[in-house]
Amino acid sequence: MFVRISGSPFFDTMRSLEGSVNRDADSSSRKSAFPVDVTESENHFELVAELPGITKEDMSISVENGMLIVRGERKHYGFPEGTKVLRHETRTNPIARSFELPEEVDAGRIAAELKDGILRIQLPKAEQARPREIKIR
Amino acid sequence: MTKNNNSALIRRDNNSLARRIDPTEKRVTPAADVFETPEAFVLRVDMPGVDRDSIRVTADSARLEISGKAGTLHADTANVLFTEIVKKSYYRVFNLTSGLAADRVEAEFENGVLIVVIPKSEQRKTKTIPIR
Repeated sequence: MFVRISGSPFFDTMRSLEGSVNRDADSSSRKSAFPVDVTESENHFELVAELPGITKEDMSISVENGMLIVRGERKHYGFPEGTKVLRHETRTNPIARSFELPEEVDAGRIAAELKDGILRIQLPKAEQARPREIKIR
Repeated sequence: MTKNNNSALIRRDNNSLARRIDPTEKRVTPAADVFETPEAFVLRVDMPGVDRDSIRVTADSARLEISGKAGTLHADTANVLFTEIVKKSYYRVFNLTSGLAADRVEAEFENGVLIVVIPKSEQRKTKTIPIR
């Protein structure tokens, strides 16, 4: 089971998150959540996540049953031979998080970009869901 | 040299010297890996979203200081529905042991991770002496 953020159309409050992060009840391997921001603009939503040290090859984004699912794994870079580790604070466990998509998102046009440890997922609104100005004649 | 000496070669300094510039911005100590290879000390510091132009790595014979400011994540016109990512600047100081070539420090930024390599001076490098 993934972390589920309840609330519609997107994530209604921070409250729904607390206590649900860093938990993966079904699996023996722990999957960590990661911090995200969500914004709404006229024509799209955008989900921004902080994911340092992960490459796009080690990440997957999918839409399943109206849920946007982000999975990944930060792989260890590997110590050179003869290395002595003095401090090891970065974590390499798998990450996973899922989000309930608002109905107006056009799932076929979702696009994502990963740069400098920041993942951006653009969630375009379907044509009919966009605001339209009605002219008064 | 005592055996214990090595683990204290590089250790974290506190942030007391750091001053805040933007009151809405949080200064955070980024997570770091520090390891020693036969040729160098390597730091790998998580700085996701940092503005590349703001990254500063300064070193003298005693300490190495890393700082950087996370860039703006959202357009001004976007309505923030939900936020967990802290607006922040990164700052961390590492004390350096002697015998490092602080003038030859190299840094690169990759996938949100700053990688700093501090070469050892010649006399400090691990050498294997062949037995004849």
